[in-house]
Amino acid sequence: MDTAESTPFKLKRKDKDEDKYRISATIAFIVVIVVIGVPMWWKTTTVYRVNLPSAPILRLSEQSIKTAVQVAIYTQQASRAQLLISELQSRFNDSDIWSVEFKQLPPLANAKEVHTPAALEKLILKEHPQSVGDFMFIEWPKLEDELLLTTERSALMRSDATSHKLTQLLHSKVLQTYRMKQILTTDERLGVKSEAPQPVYDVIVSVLNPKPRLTHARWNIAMAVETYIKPFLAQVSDISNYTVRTQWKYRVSIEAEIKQVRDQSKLGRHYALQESSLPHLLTSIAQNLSASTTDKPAINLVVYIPPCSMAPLHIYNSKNQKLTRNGVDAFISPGWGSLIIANPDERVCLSYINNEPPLAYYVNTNDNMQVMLDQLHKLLDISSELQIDGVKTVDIEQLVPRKWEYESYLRRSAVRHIATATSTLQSLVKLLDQISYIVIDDKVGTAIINSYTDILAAKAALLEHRLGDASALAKRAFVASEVGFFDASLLAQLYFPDEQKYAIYIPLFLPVMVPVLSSFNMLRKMLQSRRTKVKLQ
Amino acid sequence: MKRCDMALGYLLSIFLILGAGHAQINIDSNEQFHEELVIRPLAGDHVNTYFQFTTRWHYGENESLFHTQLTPRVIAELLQQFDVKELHIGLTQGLWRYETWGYPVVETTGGAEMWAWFNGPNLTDQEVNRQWTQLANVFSGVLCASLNFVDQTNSIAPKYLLRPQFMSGGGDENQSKFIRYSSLPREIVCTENLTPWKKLLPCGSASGFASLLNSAYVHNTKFHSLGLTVRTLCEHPENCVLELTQTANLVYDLRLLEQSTGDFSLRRLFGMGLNGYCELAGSSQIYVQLNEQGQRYQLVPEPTKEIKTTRGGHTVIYGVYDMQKQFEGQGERLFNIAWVTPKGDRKQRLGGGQHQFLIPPPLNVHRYLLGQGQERGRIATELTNNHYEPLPILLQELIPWYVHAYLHTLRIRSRNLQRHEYTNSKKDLPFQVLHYAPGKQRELPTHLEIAFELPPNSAALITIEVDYLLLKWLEYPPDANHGHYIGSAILSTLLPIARNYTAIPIDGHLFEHSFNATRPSYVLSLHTEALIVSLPTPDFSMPYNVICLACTVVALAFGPIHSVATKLIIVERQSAAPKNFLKKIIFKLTKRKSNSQQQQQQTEEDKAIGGTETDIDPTDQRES
Amino acid sequence: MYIKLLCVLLYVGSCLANVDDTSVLPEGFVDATQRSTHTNNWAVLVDASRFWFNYRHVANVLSIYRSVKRLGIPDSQIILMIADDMACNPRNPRPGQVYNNANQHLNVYGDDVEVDYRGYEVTVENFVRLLTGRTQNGTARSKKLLSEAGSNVLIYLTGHGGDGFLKFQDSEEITSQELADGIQQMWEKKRYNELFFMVDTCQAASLYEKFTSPNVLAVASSLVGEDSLSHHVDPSIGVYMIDRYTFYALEFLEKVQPFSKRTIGDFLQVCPKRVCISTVGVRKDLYRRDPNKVLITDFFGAIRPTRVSTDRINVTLANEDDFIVSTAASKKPSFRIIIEPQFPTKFFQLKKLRSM
Repeated sequence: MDTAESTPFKLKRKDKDEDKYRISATIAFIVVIVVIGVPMWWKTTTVYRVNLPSAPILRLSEQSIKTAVQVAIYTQQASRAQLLISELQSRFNDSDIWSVEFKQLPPLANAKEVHTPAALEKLILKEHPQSVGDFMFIEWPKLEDELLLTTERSALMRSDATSHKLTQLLHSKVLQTYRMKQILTTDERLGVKSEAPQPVYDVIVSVLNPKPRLTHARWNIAMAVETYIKPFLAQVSDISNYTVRTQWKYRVSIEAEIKQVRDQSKLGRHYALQESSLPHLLTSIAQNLSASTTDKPAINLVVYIPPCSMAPLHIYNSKNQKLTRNGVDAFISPGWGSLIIANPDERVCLSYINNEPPLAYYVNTNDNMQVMLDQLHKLLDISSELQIDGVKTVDIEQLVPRKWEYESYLRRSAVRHIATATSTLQSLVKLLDQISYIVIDDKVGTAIINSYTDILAAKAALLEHRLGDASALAKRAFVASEVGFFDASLLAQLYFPDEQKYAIYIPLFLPVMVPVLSSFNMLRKMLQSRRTKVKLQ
Repeated sequence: MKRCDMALGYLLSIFLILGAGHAQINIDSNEQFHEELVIRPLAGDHVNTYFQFTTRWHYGENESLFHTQLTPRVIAELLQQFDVKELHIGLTQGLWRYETWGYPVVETTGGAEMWAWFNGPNLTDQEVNRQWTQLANVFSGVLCASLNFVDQTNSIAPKYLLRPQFMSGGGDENQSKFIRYSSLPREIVCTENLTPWKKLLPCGSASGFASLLNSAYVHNTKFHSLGLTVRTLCEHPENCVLELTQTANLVYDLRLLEQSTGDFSLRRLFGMGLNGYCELAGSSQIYVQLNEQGQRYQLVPEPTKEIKTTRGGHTVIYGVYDMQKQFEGQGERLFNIAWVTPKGDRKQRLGGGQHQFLIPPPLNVHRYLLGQGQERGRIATELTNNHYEPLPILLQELIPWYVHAYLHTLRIRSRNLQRHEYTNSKKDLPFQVLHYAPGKQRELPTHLEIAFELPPNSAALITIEVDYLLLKWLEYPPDANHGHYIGSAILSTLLPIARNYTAIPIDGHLFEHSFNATRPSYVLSLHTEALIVSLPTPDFSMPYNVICLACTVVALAFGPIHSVATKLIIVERQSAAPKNFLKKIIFKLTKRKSNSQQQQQQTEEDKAIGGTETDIDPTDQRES
Repeated sequence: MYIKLLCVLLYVGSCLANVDDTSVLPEGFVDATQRSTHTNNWAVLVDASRFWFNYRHVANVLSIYRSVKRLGIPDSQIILMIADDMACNPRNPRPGQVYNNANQHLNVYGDDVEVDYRGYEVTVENFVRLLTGRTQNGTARSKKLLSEAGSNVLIYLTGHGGDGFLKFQDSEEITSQELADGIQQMWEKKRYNELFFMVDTCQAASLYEKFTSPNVLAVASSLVGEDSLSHHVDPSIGVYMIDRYTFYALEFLEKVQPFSKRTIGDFLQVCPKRVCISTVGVRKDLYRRDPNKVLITDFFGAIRPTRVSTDRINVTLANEDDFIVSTAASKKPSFRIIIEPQFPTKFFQLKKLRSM
């Protein structure tokens, strides 16, 4: 029995010698598959993801965006200034958007010698220079209104101006708190619906002459734009860069209801365009403004020359009132652009009515350009149109916008850019955390990190009174965050979920891994037996 | 000073009032727009209508490209944004029949075709590649065509065939010029291409000849082709001409117009009469060919003028209708021209075969695919020279990357026109030039240009052998069984005569400029047919099954290899074990009992059966 | 002076109205929450089916295209994706035309159509890229959805679908999860104000089930488990013309004019079960407003906010006459056109012939 049992296990010497090869083969298999293969598979199938500061980005919105502003007050009596400052300070203390620092300017010795407010302001500025974004109230007793906003960074106040009025002015005109709140609100119904200012724009001035056969309008629009629009845009290009282009468009069909109205003019009639149909007019015009090769957003400034068969054309409101003021018929559509109706001269249409051959004429440049400039102010969102009782604003008489108005625009844009960049980064980070198999390449990674650091820097700059820096940093943060969010590579593996990956690899790995793993067990036993052998010996 | 200005202003306005009667209005004399329509009856009841809209802008400093009048803004932006000096885009549906229709005014190939010349300071090849794809993307948006499929994998840089037609005027001759060419033979042409194309015209489709291009009638044709050509001619950067030529070439089959008589009219061809001319056009002319096939018809109304043009020994008579004169002093109406067969001729015509005999054009080309199966084939291009002189031939092939061509198999065999077969014994025609840029899978197409001389009255057959590649799963289009296209080859020659030749001379820009434009020789370019190859197409429904199958095969192979390498096979002698079934069981039970103190048991039963595999277990060895 | 002030006041009114509906408008709070806050409109219209026998899907998408265009959305704000060419298909006996019914009453293709994505470009990837804005570098502007926080977006899909997916080009699918993710990302990036999702396919309701983003109103031609059916066949072309749901939707939309007071609520009633055969599914839980108070033109039309502005900035930088004088522009000197030879004769020895 014993012999019968032991013979099958009696191995030949040769087989015994080969045992070591078998062991090394087993080890080789294990090494190749488990030690090299699996990590390599793991390495090659894991997606490349740059490490992102997710947690700090998600915490970005916890810290509110606060802007520091310095407001100086110059009065003839120091006590009045002190009183005003303490009152104003208390009104602004609990603001979570503003950190306003009020500063009292000591009365100047030679103040009595100056006779105009401008001269006084100059004098004050010599002593106490202002930096970008600051503001100043100057007392000027002989003022008609309670407050008068200048075109610089200052307002004149009458001696009896109350701190309430001053607060109102600061909130609604200089700081534009209501607009800031609109930017920072979390309620999407009340939030701003327009896009944040983009880094580049095309400003396209289109002259529409729908009936070139009947309307022989001439206009050196190129020169008009070079004289008015370009220099103006050069003044306001801190936030965005503008490229100005002009084009003529002919045979553009206008779809809008137009009614004839009798009047006392030589022509005996004019035409009425209902205010409610302006959107449709706009749509039919937008269809015809030709395509563009560039990717830049466009601001369309349209000058429409109605043919004499429907000129002069005026806009009427729903109560049938003519809305023409100062001979201007124009409207704007924020986010798209504006339109000016440039009615031909009366004599031109008179000759049309008399069936004479069409009269060539020149479109009035100054007239239309002045309106267009105002429209640009509104479209770029620079001008503040809110009106307060007792507060007057000095009219602009040069190309440069009012300084306080423009700086408020800078401030608003900076906050807007920071807020937009923050929410963009947050939603992007959320997306990337949620879907773990999206590739994050270096380009996206650096864009996100740069944007994040720029946001922090911009916020700090706002608090530290450096409006210029803040607006540049915020713009950079905004651009980088957009680049990161809209990067085409983020879609690469978006829809190749993990389950599919396993479904593909399991048929390969299962049959290969079973023998390899079971040979592990064998090795373990061998080691055990060696150990016991050693013990026995 | 100011008063002086005022006076000048008044003077000017008086001048304006006086000059107001002119039809030409508000157009800078530096910028002109012309519309032309050429109507040529062709053999076999076909009519060719060719529209050409030319905008020519003589502009000064670069700056003024920002301000456009008649030229569409897109084109001005194009020149500013890219270093493009010349751009050709053609969108064509159908095949132009050279044998019966002669040569067209503008040459295009089926589908979309696009080429551009780039020239600028510090341009590099990579920069040109970037601009080229970007340019294609821009025009895919502008013309609603899928031009965005143009990229490095289907673009080539032709070396000899396409020559620049622009003047760089930089004065710097060292600036190298770059060209890119691509074609998308699969592209369809429909209303969505026509609509934006018409929008580029200053009058749009509202008035002028473009109002005739209504989609339902344009697409009812046998052949229609939209073209867009931009080129710049600069003497120096401050004195340039920008030329935008938009062409529409249509061939109507009169039999499809539901009128058996063969008569036709503008209204019948385009669905409506002409509503006038474009007010912005410097000229609006209709040219109607009166001789050759045009002889069959009488025109109603009669043309106002006749032009006899002789070019390269070939005479053509055109009747001219000047639309600005036709509509002068008249109110709104629709203008119509009717082509009527004179009463006497009608019977003959209906009898058939009365068409004037057409002399075939001097050079003709066809292309086809040889071979069977989905693995390899042969592209054959056949050229026929009917002329009594030898012709210089330049041929350009763009073979997509999924077709692999073998240069060593390239042959040009020739035969006399009297013979019908190409003899192998005869020596092949020699190449004068051979330019070959091999393709690279998924990256570059094969680019081949050859030049040779085609003997008089003979035909040549150019063949090259190709392999079809297997594509990856995702590289197949949704309709993979439709097949893949090989774009048409382009062929260029120098004709000594201008028979059937209608192209506009290179230094002209209007159709009018081809009148009496006799030159020593005429550059002709022709397109061959596009080919369609069916690549091996897998069954797309079972990728997962394929993965499973492949994995199973791997697993099946791995198992035994692993076993052989790591396991010892022991053959057990059976003598010891009892043969009786009952005893066998008892034997086993007793054996188990006796072995109970031993550790290793598992393989016992197996061993009883015979040879078996066992792990080389050190415990076993110890036992023995 | 007074006039100017008056018109300035006019703005202030409109300005305030924008700022805070609730405090200024007399309609009171309830109506203010129902008021639309959109500033522009976008439409993404997708036909996902290829091949001639799917003519009806192209007719579907073109029907909606025709309506939104007629009601005022400009082509630049419509992204039209059509997977195959039906109008110029060789099988079409009426080239350049696509009809919605057999008696050729309405050519929905029209003479003024701009297709942004066509043929092979219509893929799931391109569609998702379009929605999320992650388009490939260099994509033309007309092929991008450039909507913003104030945009009302209409998404219309048609094709062959099943429970939880819609087939693209007969070769790939978009799942309801992918759609929901895409829309969620649009919301996160503030790329829409309100979104109206319409889908005409079999088991269409399954496509909007996974939506979680707010302000989305969805309507589907059939519920899960139901087929959407086609309307009728045109024997002269041998295929079905249009699907039932879109046929009745178009019938409804044809009666809507740009100033119409019809509401989305009315539109949701279109195609009751007895004519549609399938049940029209509606999902309102993500939508805050009452559909019966939402104008149909809020999604199918485009009414941009406009305001009359008659101010001017009083700067005069040049004399009027200066502009007139400069108009008489100088004529540019002409020059000779010299273009290099178009054929490389140097390679050939045909000298004798060419030297004539």
